[in-house]
Amino acid sequence: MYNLLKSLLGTADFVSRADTTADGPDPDPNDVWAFTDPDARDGYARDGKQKRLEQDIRFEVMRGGGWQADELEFKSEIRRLLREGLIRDKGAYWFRSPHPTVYRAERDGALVVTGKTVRFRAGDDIVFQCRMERDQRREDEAPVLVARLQPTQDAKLCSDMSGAMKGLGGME
Amino acid sequence: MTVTLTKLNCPNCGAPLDWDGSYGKPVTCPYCGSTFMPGPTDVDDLWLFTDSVARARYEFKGTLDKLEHDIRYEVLRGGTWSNLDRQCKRELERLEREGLIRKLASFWALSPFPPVYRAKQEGELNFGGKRFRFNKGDELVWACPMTRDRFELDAPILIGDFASERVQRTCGEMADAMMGRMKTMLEE
Repeated sequence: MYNLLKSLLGTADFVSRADTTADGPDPDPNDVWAFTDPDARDGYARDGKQKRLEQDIRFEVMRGGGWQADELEFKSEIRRLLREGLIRDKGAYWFRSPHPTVYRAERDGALVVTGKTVRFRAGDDIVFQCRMERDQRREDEAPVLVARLQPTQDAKLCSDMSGAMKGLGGME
Repeated sequence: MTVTLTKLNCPNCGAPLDWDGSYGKPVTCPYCGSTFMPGPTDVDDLWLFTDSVARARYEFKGTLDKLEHDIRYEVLRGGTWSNLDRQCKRELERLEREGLIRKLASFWALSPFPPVYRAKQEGELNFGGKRFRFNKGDELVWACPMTRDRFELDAPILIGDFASERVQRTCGEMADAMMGRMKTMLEE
């Protein structure tokens, strides 16, 4: 389980930017960037790959439709936790697209998505999980991962995930 | 110039024909001698079994015509979907509506790249006069004609625990790969 730490993290020049803010609007089901950390998006733009990222999110992550109700509910819960000061921007984002912001729990707490309560402890990392990430875990879970994430340098697109295609093995 | 030969069947005698893929150029059957003009097949929904994400990948690369050609002539062999295919699709849609299965964020790695489902609880599909049981956690996919041939399936449905695949292949590419493997085996 990996995240990419932002390059200026820990320096005086670091400015916190996240996919969700305490005073942000209600989540928009058609906003392709709703779960993308602004610094991740800027990184792709600098490399001339923002169109590729957008296509990946629109089709591989959102499956050609809008964000699902449980995904929007998660975003609203993150906004509530930010308002209550239970979590803060960790200064990192998930290594796979849509590259959501990783939040760090300041205190013990919980979030509720589709009636399921997900608890976290102070120091835990909290991050959005897209449908493909959840499919790989096999159970019907809330779109959230609570863990202690390790740093990596490799950003990946959702379409590069091993679970993006299925077969009977050896089809290549 | 490279000419890609595509398999067609003679509409008169059913014999397999080699065709260079061009419309508007007459083809003569070497078996019965009849001549006909190949044209695009009238299929009411060519994309009936194609996951929207798989299609979008081809659109993004500007190669959707390649996939369309593959489905029309390699998957459908110039024909159309069978009643059994359509029944299977309706059953999968019914089960999804009833909440017994859900569509995964994955598609089958072989064209026409149908969506893959996972069972949320045990149940059964009922089509073609047969019942196909599945358990919670099983994965289900409509099986294309090539998959049916390869695994000698009586019905167009596969139920199991599928592997992850890294390579997305059209039916035509798969046929070429299998022919290549057979050739190697014969040479050994």
